[in-house]
Amino acid sequence: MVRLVLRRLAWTGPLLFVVSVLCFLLISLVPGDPARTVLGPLAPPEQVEALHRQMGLDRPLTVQYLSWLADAVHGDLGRSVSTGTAVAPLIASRLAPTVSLILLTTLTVGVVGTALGVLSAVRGGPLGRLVDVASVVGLAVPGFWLALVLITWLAVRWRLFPATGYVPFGESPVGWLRSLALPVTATSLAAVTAVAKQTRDAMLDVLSRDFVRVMQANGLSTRSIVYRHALRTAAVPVVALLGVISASLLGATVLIENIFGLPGLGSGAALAAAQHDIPVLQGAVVCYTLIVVAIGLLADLAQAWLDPRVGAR
Amino acid sequence: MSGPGPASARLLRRPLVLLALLWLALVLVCALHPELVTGRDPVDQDLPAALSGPSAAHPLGTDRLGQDLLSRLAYGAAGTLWGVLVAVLTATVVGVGLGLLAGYLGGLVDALVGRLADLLFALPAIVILLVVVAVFPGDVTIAMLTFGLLLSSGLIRVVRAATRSTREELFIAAARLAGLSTPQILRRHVLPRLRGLVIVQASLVAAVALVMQASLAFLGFGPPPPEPSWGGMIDEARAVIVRHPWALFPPGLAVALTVLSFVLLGDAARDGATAAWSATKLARRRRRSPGAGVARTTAPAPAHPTGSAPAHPLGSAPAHPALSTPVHPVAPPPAGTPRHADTLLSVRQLSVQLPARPGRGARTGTTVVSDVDLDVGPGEIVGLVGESGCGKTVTALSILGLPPGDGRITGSCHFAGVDLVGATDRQWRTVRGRRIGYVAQDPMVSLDPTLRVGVQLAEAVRRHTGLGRRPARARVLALLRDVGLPAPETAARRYPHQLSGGMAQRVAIAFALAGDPDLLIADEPTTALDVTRQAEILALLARTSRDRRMAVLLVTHDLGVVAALCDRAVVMYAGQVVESCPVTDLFARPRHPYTRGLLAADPHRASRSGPLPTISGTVPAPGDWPTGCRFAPRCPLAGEPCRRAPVPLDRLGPGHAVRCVRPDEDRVAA
Amino acid sequence: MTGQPLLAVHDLVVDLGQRRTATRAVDRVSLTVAAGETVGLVGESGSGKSTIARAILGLTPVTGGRIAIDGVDVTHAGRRQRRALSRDVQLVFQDPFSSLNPARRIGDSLVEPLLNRRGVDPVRRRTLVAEALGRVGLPAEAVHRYPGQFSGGQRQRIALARALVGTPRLLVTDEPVSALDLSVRAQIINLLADLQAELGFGHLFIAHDLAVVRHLSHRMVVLHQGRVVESGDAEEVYRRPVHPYTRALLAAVPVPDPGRARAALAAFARQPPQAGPVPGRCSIS
Repeated sequence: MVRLVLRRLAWTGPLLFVVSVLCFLLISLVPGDPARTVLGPLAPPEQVEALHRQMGLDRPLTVQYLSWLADAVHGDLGRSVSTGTAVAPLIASRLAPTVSLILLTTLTVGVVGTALGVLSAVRGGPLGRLVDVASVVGLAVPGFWLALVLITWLAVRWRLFPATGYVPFGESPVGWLRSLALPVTATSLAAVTAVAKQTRDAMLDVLSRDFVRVMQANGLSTRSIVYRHALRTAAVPVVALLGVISASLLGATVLIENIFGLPGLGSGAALAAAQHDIPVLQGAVVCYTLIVVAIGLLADLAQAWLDPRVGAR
Repeated sequence: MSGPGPASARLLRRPLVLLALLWLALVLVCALHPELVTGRDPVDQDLPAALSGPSAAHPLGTDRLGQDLLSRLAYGAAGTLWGVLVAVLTATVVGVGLGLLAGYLGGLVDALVGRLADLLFALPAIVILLVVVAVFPGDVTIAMLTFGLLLSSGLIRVVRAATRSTREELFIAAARLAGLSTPQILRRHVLPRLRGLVIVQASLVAAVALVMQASLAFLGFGPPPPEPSWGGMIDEARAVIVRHPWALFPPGLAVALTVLSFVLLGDAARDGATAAWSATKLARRRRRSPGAGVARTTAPAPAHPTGSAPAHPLGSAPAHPALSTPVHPVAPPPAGTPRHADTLLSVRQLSVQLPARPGRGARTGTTVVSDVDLDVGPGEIVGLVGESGCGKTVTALSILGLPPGDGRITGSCHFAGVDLVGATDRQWRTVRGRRIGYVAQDPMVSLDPTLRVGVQLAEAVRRHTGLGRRPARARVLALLRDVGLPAPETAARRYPHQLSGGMAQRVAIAFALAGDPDLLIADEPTTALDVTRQAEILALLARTSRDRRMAVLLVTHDLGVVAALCDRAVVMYAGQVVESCPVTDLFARPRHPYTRGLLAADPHRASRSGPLPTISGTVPAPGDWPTGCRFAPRCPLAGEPCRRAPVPLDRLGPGHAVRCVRPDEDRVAA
Repeated sequence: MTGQPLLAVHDLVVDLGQRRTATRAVDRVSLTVAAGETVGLVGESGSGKSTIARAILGLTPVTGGRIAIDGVDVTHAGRRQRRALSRDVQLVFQDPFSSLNPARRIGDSLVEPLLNRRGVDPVRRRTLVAEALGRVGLPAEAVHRYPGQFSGGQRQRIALARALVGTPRLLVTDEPVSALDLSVRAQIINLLADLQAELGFGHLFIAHDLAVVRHLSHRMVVLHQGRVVESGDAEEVYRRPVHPYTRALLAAVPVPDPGRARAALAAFARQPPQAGPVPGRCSIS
């Protein structure tokens, strides 16, 4: 178990390095002079030139990257080109809505998806077929489109939830929940169906294994067999899938935050991309990667806890 | 078996697949010749009709500028399909290529490719794409090329895992030993195995790429405004969401239907690619598991025969047919051998029928066990002997009310005054584990892999004895000591995978003894073990039976095991009992030609020189049983009377019964 | 038979696993097989008997010692030499279910040993495949079917046909009958004996069942924890085992004779043989 964690963590450093180099290279390809972007098209060329130098853009690319890296190691991610504020606190301030969205969605997906999957596996019949069909349909409905439909009816027509905006948890937990209800619904639908399907298949597989028959034959209670023994084994692939889904939610947050006007990391990254704000984008990428690594680590730990054979490998 | 041709024809007859195909064909026509679908120009502005619903002039309505939605949808198809094609091709070529290399070569290549896949996976796709579209504004091809590359990480992993597992298959080793080169092996054995997998993955990539492309266009990174795109149309609809929500639906449904079609077709194509051989694959039996054949071929159970209970692999779980819908014996009151008053278990006319599986061959149910009579006295060890597919395992499980594949049990099965056929939940609770224990063949898979041995045993002990936590723990240690584990405390802390086969089987026996049963049903308990381990387990069973005065019903194919352990033997062939007698008679005076043939074919008994005596032919599968004597086609003594009508089980003498027309003829099968 | 054996294994050592955690699976094993001879290799799981087979066929790297086929050293044969060797040496696996690719027709599997052989055109291949099927008692039309349509015994016949289609001079069989039912097992044992009489190949027969090995083999080699503990004439070893491990092994096999089996089990229960490593090495050959 400890070795598993260490191996994961040892891999994080090189991963961050490669990701940041890649992003730096990609961003350097963006046409146009960031200094010009900052000052606007009407600024005199001398002024642009001065800012260009001040931003260090006249230095070679490797030097630019290394100086960024040196600062980043010390927690300084540079300053935003467009607003001039420091990137690290900017990102920190945008972290809460995104992390809230991911956590709530993962929770919803985990609870609802697993429950549906287990029920459909144990009961079978129409519920089972529903889960099978829903997993395909869920994949087909784009989350951002569903978000628009939810806004139209639940927010605009019936005024059940706010259409846009974010209420911090510290301000009002209920408001926080209400502000996230629609975004979470929109992002979790496809994932719920996928997890339900995975859970159902895993449960059906485990329930047909020999040890289940042995336990039945030796008189263990059905409830214990299903929920204590089978579910634990079936949960291993489900947790792996949940990890993948949580990581992929980061992509969804860009669209969803944009639609619901949530001041999160995703909408910030989209804005930065539009403004050619390299330091902010770079910071966002690093932050995203860290979150992906953290999710992967959590998923691995959960699997090792569920199945001792995973940790032993 | 049908070849690939008829298989694909069969797939086309599935209505959903046909619909998916038709929809994709329509999208393709739109992409190539949109003018065939609509006469309107996608950028023509019919301002008076702006924001109208469906009408004759505008079948799908119009947008804010009065542009025709149907026309915009049709003209937007080309860009959509092109983007999907680029992403799918990139992901498939990169994913299959690298996955195959990593999986087959292993070592350093594998490590590097694995790291690359990790990296691609950890990159935030949408942010990278935002950067790409900023560098190459409006260029769908490059954006989707990048996205395909990012998506290939999933394919790399899946293909690598599948290649690795295929590489470990014996048939790959066989091909290498046949002198095939690596490219030949990849082409002949590995790639065909991956085909179905890659098709499904590619269809998923297509689905995800389509949604991503629409997302980018929605965010304003698609083709510039007057030009139509599906995602852009959703963005245009968003602006008028309050006044005219209808506009959301044409592009949204177009995306959804296309994605659905991709996924459905992917599944169907996978089925088509494997249809020729996968139907027979189900018949694959596990290694070293004589008797499991019947259970295997029918493992997934889609429908319950009566339709009253849902299908269920657990067999029992909350809605097990044998529990929720008690099966009443339809057979007349047990005939044949009379029941002894002092027997512990008395099975009469037990038959098991597996449910009909429409569309999968069998239209009527298949009988896998017919009219089995069987007695076990208190403390007696009875061997249930037979070859694969003779129904001995099904019989054993049916006594416990757990027939494989939702089988239907008829007949009677009296145990300590209760007829177990048709027993209620409440009755079963007092029988399973408390009166009858069960040990399965393969100890490595008969324990829950995720829990410590002690925890599992404690659960069984507490359930059967009602003991508290502490006394239960003491009981568990005593049980482990009883089954001969020298260090019970250590063993209790182990996980099943940390035990050797022999130790795991001891634990499995302890599990079955937790409720101190009167009868132990052991299904090939030593088949998966080495001979010295086998001897230990046999000695343990003999000792336990003697010490606890516990009867044992021992299912086995090994005549040596029967000789070493059993008091009486019941020989099964093709679902029937063919001979039943004390063990000394079985070896000294076997009466049924099948029993004689089995004994003669055993190399222990055969003389060293010359060929072994054999029984010609093979055991017939359930459903192919002859009407007369079921052994007649393989019997050297068979005559006309044998083939005419079913042969009854006749009593020859005290405790000896034989199902044969001419049991007195001593000519042994040569 | 000439002075040079068909297969000569000398002081073979095989370590399995990664360098740090390697275990010695085979420890200085020597044995020979002559043309037309069957040598039985007996042992329990973990005795190294399958590893020896894999080493002979180049499926496992060899740590030390020498393997020669027809006097030619093949211990560290490269890919090219191995492919050439496939003409002379063939293997039959224990599991008749996974040793045939379920997705390929029987004909496709059977033709593989002939694919890279010069001077064998497709017509000739078809004839050879049909002949091989006939030799193992299967109809020629079986080439069009999939493995899933055959029973275990029939599949083992198919596996034998594949091994023999290229008329190898040495056949290695790894537990070829232990996954089969009793009545089918006898058929395959007889088939192996008949085929050897007809084709004259040398046969290294690996099994755990001493009675089967005695029946089929001329000589017998008993392995325990990677070492040879006893070897000699098959009948002799079976009747008069010298090494304690061979005796324990023989005692542990339940004989289909109630009197003897019960006595053996009782003796076994009183005094189970020690599971520890065998002290020295007794080679009686």
